[in-house]
Amino acid sequence: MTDEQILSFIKGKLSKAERQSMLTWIKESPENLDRVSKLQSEAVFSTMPDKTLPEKKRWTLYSIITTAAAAALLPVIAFALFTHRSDKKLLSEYSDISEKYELVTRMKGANIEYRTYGAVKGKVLLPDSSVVWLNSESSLVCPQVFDSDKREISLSGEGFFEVHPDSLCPMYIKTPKGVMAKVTGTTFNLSAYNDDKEIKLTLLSGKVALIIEKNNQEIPILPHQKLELTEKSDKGTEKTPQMAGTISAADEEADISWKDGILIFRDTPMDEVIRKIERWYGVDVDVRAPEVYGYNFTANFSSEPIHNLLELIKTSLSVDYTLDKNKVVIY
Amino acid sequence: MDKDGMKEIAEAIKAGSREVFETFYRVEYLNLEHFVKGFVGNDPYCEDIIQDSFMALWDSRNKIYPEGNLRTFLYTIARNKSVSHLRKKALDKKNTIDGEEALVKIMLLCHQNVSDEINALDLENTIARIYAAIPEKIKRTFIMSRVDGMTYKQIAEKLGVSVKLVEYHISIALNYFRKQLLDYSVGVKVIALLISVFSSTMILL
Repeated sequence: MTDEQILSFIKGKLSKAERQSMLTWIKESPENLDRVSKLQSEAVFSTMPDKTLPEKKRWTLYSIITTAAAAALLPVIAFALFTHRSDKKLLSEYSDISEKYELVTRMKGANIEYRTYGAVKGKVLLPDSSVVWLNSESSLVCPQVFDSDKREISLSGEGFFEVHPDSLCPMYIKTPKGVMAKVTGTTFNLSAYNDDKEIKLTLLSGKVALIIEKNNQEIPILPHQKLELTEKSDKGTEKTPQMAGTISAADEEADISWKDGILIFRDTPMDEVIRKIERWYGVDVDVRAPEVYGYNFTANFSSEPIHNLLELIKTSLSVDYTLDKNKVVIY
Repeated sequence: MDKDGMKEIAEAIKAGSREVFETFYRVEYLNLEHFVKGFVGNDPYCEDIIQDSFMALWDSRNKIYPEGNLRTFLYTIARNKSVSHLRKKALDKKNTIDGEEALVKIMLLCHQNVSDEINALDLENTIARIYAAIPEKIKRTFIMSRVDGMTYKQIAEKLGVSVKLVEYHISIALNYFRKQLLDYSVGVKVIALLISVFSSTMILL
């Protein structure tokens, strides 16, 4: 590729066919990417216009900030002007609150971090075109470009993975408890929340193994199986907990339905139900009726308001509850 | 790097000065547009990214570090928003050439070269243009204090702003006048300038 061709690509002046071959060439090696980046950075940063806008009142922001006669008028004008722009957010709602509605993308050193806070769920595309659905309160960290011999990412929380097949370049998914998943081309669900005692892997198709980093022990599972690794609090040190594992037939529907907006409980112990409700709806649950924990719960919920779920818990377990903004009390 | 005068600008914005922020907006808009279009491409959403970035900076003004580089803060916000947009585009247009290109654009935007450039954004030219565009309101604050003899508290009450903001506006005005004088060699030009400064003062009085 010549510098001229690269510059044309940067300026968007290539034909569809030329674009395709340029994209393929760029993805061939990190050196190619570096070369394009160098030319692009030089082209953009050394040609800044450095010109001031004239003082005419035609810019939205300008108008909002200076034309309001009284300070009280300002929020009203801002509201009107911004809602006019389709689904744009309100001025005041912007910074901290935007993360309540969106998957957050951040740079973490040279890596990219995707995070969901509260009740948010999101879909992420990895550099190799693998797709990951992220459940609530989860984070995924991946590099900008994968290495040629392995694809390394980190997951904290829960994700449903559709990994692009490449048997020569396995993907390693690190989780918070010193356990790693190794996959080559696979569809599976991995749940590794920091505040859960278990790591759960449900395999739909392909090949996966969980690796306990401490002793490099590899535990493979077959499609339609579920592997559950539990921390044993009595043995091992705090940093590298002892793990006990069980493999069982997977209840795929129950484990994976979250990705389609369906919350399924099948004879699930209440402590897990409570934790799932907290994450799913982004609420804090204060359980003041400890007898609740003696029960198992079975139910299906399809993107329903939390109220419906709480009503069902109320009638089936003979408890009551209060719901105030995002705080639930069960008593 | 000549950071002289940038600290007061950043402090004023942090203290809530809409006038100074808006001056920064007019001075930086075309540069930020050049940056976003250069990395996102010809996408109608670019304008939203630019506007949203300025809005986010204003909303997060309490996080401004006045000794730091205000442009770096703004461009970091814009980069993150651009990446978010490209990510959505890559998902929406998955398995098409546009989707593939969006993915490559994310990699280019997140490259270390861009981080280095954003961290090293030059302030000298920006400072000069901000001071050249300082609105009359700021100079008027200065006149209220030095010519009318009002106390900062009185000015603050009259304008409905904080005393801190008045302080920053006055330092900015001082910088403005000082820069104007430094730009010209001694002689007729200086005298002409002083006359024009004082005659505008007369008009305002």
